[in-house]
Amino acid sequence: MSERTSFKRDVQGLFSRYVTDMNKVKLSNPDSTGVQRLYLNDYASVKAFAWQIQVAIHGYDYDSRNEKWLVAAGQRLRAPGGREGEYVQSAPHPMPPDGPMPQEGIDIFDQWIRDGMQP
Amino acid sequence: MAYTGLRIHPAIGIARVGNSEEYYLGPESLAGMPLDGQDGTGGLPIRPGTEGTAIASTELRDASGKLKRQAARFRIYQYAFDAADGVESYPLGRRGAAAEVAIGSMVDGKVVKDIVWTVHLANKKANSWEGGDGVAPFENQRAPALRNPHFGEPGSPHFATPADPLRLKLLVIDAGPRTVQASRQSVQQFDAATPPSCAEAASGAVRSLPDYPVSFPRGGPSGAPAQDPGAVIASLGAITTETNGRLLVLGGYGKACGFDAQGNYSATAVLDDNVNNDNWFDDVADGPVTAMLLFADGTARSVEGSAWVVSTDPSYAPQTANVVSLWDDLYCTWLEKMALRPAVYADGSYQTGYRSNFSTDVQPILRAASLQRWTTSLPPRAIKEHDLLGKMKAEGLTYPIMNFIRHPDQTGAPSLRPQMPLSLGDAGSSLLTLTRAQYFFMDQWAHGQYVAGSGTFLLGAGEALDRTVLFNCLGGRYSPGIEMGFIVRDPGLYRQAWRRHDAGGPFRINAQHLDYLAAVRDQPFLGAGYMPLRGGAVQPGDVSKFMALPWHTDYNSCATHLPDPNPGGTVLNNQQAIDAATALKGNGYNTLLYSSWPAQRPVAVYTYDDVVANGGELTTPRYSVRGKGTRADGVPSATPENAEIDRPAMHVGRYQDRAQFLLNWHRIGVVVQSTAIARKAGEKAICKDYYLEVESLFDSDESNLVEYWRNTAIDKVYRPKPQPKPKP
Amino acid sequence: MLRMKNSLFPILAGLLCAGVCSGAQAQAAVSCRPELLAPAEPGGARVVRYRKNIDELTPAELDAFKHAVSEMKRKSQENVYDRRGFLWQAWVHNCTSVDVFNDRQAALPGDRLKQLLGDPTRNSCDIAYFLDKVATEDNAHEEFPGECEHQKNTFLQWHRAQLYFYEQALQAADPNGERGPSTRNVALPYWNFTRKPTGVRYPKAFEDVDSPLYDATRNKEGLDSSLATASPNLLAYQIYYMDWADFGGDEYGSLGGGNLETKIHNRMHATYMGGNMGDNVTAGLDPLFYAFHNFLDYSFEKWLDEHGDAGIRGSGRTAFMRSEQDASLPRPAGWSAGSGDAQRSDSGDYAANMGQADLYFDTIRQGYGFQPRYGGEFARKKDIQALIDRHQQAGFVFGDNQKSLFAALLSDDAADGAAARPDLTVTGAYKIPARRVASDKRANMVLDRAHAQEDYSFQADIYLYPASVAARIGDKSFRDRYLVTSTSHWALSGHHQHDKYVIETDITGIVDSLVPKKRNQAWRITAAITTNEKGRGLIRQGDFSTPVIQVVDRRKPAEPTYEESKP
Repeated sequence: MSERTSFKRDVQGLFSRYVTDMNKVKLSNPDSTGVQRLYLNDYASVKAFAWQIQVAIHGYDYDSRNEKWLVAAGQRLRAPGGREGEYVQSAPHPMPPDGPMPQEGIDIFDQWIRDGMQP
Repeated sequence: MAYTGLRIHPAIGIARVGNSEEYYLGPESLAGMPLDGQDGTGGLPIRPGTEGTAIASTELRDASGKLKRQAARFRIYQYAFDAADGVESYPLGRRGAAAEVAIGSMVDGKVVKDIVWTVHLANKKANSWEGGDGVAPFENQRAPALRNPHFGEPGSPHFATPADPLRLKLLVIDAGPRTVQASRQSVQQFDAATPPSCAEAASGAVRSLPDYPVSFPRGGPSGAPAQDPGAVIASLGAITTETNGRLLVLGGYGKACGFDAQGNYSATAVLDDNVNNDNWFDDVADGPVTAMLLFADGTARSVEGSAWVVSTDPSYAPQTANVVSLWDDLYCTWLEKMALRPAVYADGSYQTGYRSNFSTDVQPILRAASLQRWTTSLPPRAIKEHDLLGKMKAEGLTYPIMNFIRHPDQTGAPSLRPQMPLSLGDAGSSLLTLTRAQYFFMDQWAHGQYVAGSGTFLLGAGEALDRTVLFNCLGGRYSPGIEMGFIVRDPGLYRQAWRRHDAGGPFRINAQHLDYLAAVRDQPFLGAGYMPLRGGAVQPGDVSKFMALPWHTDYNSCATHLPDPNPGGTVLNNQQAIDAATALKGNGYNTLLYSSWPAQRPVAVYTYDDVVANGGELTTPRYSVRGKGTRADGVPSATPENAEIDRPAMHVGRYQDRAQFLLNWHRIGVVVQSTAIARKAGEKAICKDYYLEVESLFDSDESNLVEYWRNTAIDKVYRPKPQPKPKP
Repeated sequence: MLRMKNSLFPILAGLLCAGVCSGAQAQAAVSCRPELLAPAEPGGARVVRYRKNIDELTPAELDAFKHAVSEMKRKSQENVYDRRGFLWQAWVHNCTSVDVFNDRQAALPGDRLKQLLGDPTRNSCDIAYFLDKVATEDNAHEEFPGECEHQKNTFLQWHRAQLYFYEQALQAADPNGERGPSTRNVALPYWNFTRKPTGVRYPKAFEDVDSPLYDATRNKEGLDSSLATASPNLLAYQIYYMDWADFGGDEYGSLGGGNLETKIHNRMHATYMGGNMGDNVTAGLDPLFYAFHNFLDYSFEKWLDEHGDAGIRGSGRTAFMRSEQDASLPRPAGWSAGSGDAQRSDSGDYAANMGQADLYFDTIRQGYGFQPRYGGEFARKKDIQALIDRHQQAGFVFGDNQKSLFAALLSDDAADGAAARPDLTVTGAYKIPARRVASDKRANMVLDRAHAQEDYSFQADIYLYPASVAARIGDKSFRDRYLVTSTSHWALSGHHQHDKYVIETDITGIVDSLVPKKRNQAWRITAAITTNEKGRGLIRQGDFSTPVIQVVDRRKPAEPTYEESKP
């Protein structure tokens, strides 16, 4: 990938539908900076809550019913501090609430984080 | 002295185009509304040759897969009034008990031997004004620009008006009148090969009119079959009768053809607009329906309550009702402007003492809301709320529902939560409102002023037809609309003196009396005709001329749009403008997209094949228009940076190249209730409350993934999931 | 007691308490008349009040408590946006946001508040459903009262914070006793639901139809008179023997809610109480909610007594508890808003959040404690140890004892036993392994309920038994012998709805017990699922996976995060 993903060009369109629903929700930032509303249209807000968003959109990756992953290893979310092959298997609030985002969208968001969350 | 009134019903009938020679009859039951004792709801077309047997899904197309046309069915009722000058009420109630008049019926002691019907179809779209902006351009004695402005005779006093003689000659398709005798069961085509005919005023005898100046588009590839897309328009439809004497008016073939600066056929005409395309014809039409009764004793009598027929777009979702229907606008206009029911509206205001009839005034709105989800993709929480509305009983309201309904006057700041209806508004309005009458009915109900059943609002059979046929048509948003446009709200469109029993009843178009015997060969018979707000009698072609030309481009484009006017202002097509609109402390510019008229022009549908492949459960919907060429992403945009924003998400669910729609409109599938879907052997029954798309000829989904509302102009668009392979 | 004007109190307090009250705060409650001390600002000395069992309140205390709730409801009737009012306090739990008219005023006169509180189908967060005025961009703005945290390691802390403020609101309801008894010293009572209810199904005080504590929407069915509502042994087991991750829940992105939440709390909401309490969007509308959660808070306190708070790491300490509370209610000592969203100027005086989780580990510092201080409401540790010794003693073999440990913990005297007639069962096969589970691994029993069309609550009773034994779930002896665990899922609606749900239980001890004598034998695992009335219309056999036992890595202890090294 020669050009790095950017929030404005690549990520904003993933979440623009959900902005109005989520900007009413306050989340506690893991960096201990109080309580803030989640603004999916705002670069700083998405960056601050990137981990929470990632866990949530990966919340549908694993199907315990058949004990199998629904997505290839390269598309799963690595568990923080985990060893190779350890992935996040569930989320308290998988997002969007009514079913997973298209895989292409999840991949773009993951790539954006790998690219260092460019504006 | 007793008087027998004679009236044709419905007052306005609807025929529809199709690319097949075969046809079904237009529905005579209310779309989506419950039918007594049946699982199926109303709105399905009727099988020809039957009284009211609804078709099954396999009867939407003919054996070769062509989409059938719809025939408008008209019938005559007689009313036993106490006096010719007696005062009409609406509904008539017990006065004027209606009885249908068929061949063999008795009218005033005489036996009906035959019924002679005359219909005249024309299409004046190319000679009309640019449409899509509603009534405003006609106010204050102004007029909008003309279509095809370069056509005209500079020397004529009527230059630059629709009355210009060159325009009348080249830009009007006039098939002329056709007459059929019901006893003969013949078919009369509205084409150049069939001579026009009319009925003698006194005797009802059929009279051929070989000199009538029939006018069809000139030129065109010779030898091309009439049904070919490349062929020129050669017909506007046909008429025939049923054995009992009822009239059937068949629509045209859904064609559109281009013409050059001389008015001759051209294969290279360009489609560059959604509503107004110069140098194009289409083959919809409209015109008067008149009848005469011939009695066994040799006398004849003309039916004073004449009707009107409109031939229009196909119906791809006959069983989903519009929240605001054509009937609602007609009814509101007649209440407010024509004193239709003083108990409801009088002296300039709605009467606070009126108690809404829940089942006729309110329930259709609630039910239509609950049916929206079948033709536009809604989030689960909205579907849940709508379902509650659809099932609500008259006494079941437990919250101030009017908080959620947009006021028709739309003054004041927008509400913080979405209000209903949540679709695009009429010309000049961002979002749709109920008619003032509908709002009043709901408001009365919400405040406890209602009767649970229909109360005293019992329609006679003919009156019911008037309402039902228009209930199944689009209302509210006439930019320009589908079957009929904003003119439905112009009192000048209708016969004013309706209040005498012998005047033919309400809702009658103010048809111009046409003296066919005065027709001269080579001289256009029809003139400029009706103009909104100016009065003037209505000629054939005067109702459809306000609609999109060709209808195809507007149908194609009207999936979802930004509102117009866009709340907050127009968002321009550059990054800076988009940044400003989507910023944290935004500039208030709306980026949400809304559906146009999903109940009449389905946007996203659940396909029957998908549901069967998923074990009977609903899956992700698909765009109704999803053939090759409908993919919205990856299409380069030529829109300049200072024009209105143009992004892929704004073009989903339609052909990116308008001309492609002209070739594919007939492949679109139809949404019907699962109870009407013919099951293959071994397939289990689908939930009866589902309304699913069947008979689509799109083998694969070439469009984009459907995502439920909210949808914004800058959404990323994705590929759709592949369609299931049909089982062997 | 002399009723003196408010303004004199601080002066008198200063005189009376100089020197005497500088000692332990607990003594201050006794030696300095508490009503003379205004609650101190953060950092100062606080009055400590003690929360009692609802059934132990004196008539005067009960009157004051009822009057406080009644006053809070009256405040909401006068203005739904009064943050000290009953409705706003319910919104703290139920609503992420509400539309507020710019003058912060809207009345709900007559019976309308009562109707709102009595309709569990209506979402009170949307004011359009019960106020007559339409909120527009011109006349209204949004505020953010809530909402609750569930299914994670801040569940207990968040509800503790919520109850803290609710109690402050009770005290502020009528502190000078102008319309009834003074509410200044009201402490929120708790409902010990591991005892037989003193009413038909709930504490008597909550079943009085004319009382402000009443809610008509709850399940009202009487219990068999010998039954308690939930088992005290199971609760005690969790308190004494579980570490924080198991008791209180795990970090975001791992395994979700702790046992107190999933195995005790959920079932009470979904099945036992129902009505408003059956749905997290309406739960706060029932006055019983606060007394119910207060006992969970007491359980949390017992756990902290037992284990200390050092085991609570990461966001369980540092997360800020979201809610907007009235600025006039005293904030917990040490409170700060953090650096989250800026204070809004259109919303009057409010506290931006309830403070960080770790502020609430020391309740005394925050002005409350529980009575009785030691023992009484909970089973004693040594009694639980005795149960373990009897049912899961060293060398025990699962299935050989008449009662499994879990069954024993549930106890025969409580109404929360395994269901005799479940709605459906799912069964999988399991071969007892030849070797015990390695020390760095654990045996994890997994049951998963897939995405349902709509979420529904259910109880899952898991049985492990030899394949040669017929699964006679209706038979109590079968249930007692082979019950591994029983857990509940409470379907949350609104923003919390997540309809895929996984149950995991560590059964290493049970598996290891079987290896010596039963290795390689064919056994079965059956999950017996029972749901409530709403769920019966939704539940389908195919929703549930076959329960399996997998060997997975033993969960690493939570590592200290960098925040804790900050000064």
